[in-house]
Amino acid sequence: MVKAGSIEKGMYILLKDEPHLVTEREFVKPGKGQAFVRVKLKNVKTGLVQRPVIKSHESVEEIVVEEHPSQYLYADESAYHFMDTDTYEQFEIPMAGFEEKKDFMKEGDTYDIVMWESIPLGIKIPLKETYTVSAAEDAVKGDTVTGATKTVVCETGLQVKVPIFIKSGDKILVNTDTGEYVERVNT
Amino acid sequence: MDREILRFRASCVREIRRFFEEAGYLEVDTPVVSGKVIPEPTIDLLNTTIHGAGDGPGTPVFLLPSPEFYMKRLVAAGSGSIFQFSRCFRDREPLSRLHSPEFLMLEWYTVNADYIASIETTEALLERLCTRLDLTASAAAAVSPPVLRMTIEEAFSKYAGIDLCACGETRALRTEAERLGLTPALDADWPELFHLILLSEVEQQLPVGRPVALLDYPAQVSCLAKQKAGTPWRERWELYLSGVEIANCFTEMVSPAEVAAYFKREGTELRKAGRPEQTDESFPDIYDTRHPACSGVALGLDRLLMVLSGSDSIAQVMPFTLRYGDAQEKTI
Repeated sequence: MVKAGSIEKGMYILLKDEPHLVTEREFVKPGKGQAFVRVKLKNVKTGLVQRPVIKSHESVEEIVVEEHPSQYLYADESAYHFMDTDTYEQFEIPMAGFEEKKDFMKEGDTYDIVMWESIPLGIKIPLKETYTVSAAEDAVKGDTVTGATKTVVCETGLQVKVPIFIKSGDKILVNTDTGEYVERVNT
Repeated sequence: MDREILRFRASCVREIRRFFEEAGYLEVDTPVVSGKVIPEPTIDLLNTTIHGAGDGPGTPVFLLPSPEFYMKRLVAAGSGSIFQFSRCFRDREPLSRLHSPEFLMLEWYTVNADYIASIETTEALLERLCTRLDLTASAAAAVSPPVLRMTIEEAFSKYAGIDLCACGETRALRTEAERLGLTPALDADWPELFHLILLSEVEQQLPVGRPVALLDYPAQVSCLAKQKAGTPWRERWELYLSGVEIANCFTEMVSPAEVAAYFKREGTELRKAGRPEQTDESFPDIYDTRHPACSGVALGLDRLLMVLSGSDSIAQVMPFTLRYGDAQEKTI
């Protein structure tokens, strides 16, 4: 158990017996009242988001999670398929709640899977990841406006807004939290 | 910290000082240390020790959470209207977007005035800042008067569908909180339920494109604001700019008997919480029946600067953010 005042972003807690990821938390204190924390929680099973306000002194149940390095094999219509690289056991993670991860994961790469009582709670993708551009339109001739962008598609299906000098086959660094282009990677 | 922000901070302080001087207020400068304080169980005090010249264990003292402890003594002694920029200290308010254990407060007391007069003074101050400072259009809109006045009763009805007057009992308010899907603590008392609903439902829905004052707080929320005669409300308002609570105002409670009753009640709470040493039992004696009517406003200057400069957190407008432990990395 932890005090609500000690909740931090990225922590997993149990709310009404359901595991939740803390995606935001703000300390709030009314002028003449007790301290509270305003948190944004994502139910990791259903993806539903809640914004409860909890008294700072109140106890909440923190979930003790484990991380299993696992190789991403492929995705079908409803699930991601992984193999635990320690036990070679294959398992699947339902896509519900993790839909936005799909275009950021590369088949064959290894990611840490956050597990709690054999329920996968999260897939950890490095904040900055390199992708290869698989399809890019050529820049329109004469288009030299500074800051002009175009959209390219990467090998995972990820679409990224990039500067117009990026070509098919280039490697680019992308912020996996925001989906924004960071820089071209020289190889 | 860039120089632009330092200059902005300085020009804002300068305009505020000129505003109050021109309005006939006297600037004062009171200590931040005291051995005793006004009891406020919801505030955690920072403390330290004065050793004097001796070798003994020294005397524990507190860093004050607001300058009211000394400013109210000055008013009672006949200072007339006063203002102050004061460093304030509060423990268990971790460094975060809107909090810092040390911050700068602008506090002013106006004699022969009530809380409604103080809204008008605040509007004049905001007007001056809008005129004299170089603000972006959105920042100017967020602080430009008039201040939208909304009573707590109206706000609870509008944003939470609650008739507060019908919820004087803890059980009734709890039922409303649960109807809204909130999960109050099992032992939540009336003020805690009130604040839970205020933070969960009301604050989040306040208009952000213009200043808003929530007026007339329930008498059950204990504080040194005068009760509005014949009503269950206290003469108190809180100012919100861009949805952020910026200032708190009272028509000050100046009746010696009522202040003494507040000290007795809150002192008891602190004793129960194991913090009996804080209460200055002699404080109510500063009031006598000749004390002028008075209204006090406490305004978080770092938060005001944050809104005026269009920043996202107070850290962006402070010359330094406090460094202690690993708090900075964890919370900012």
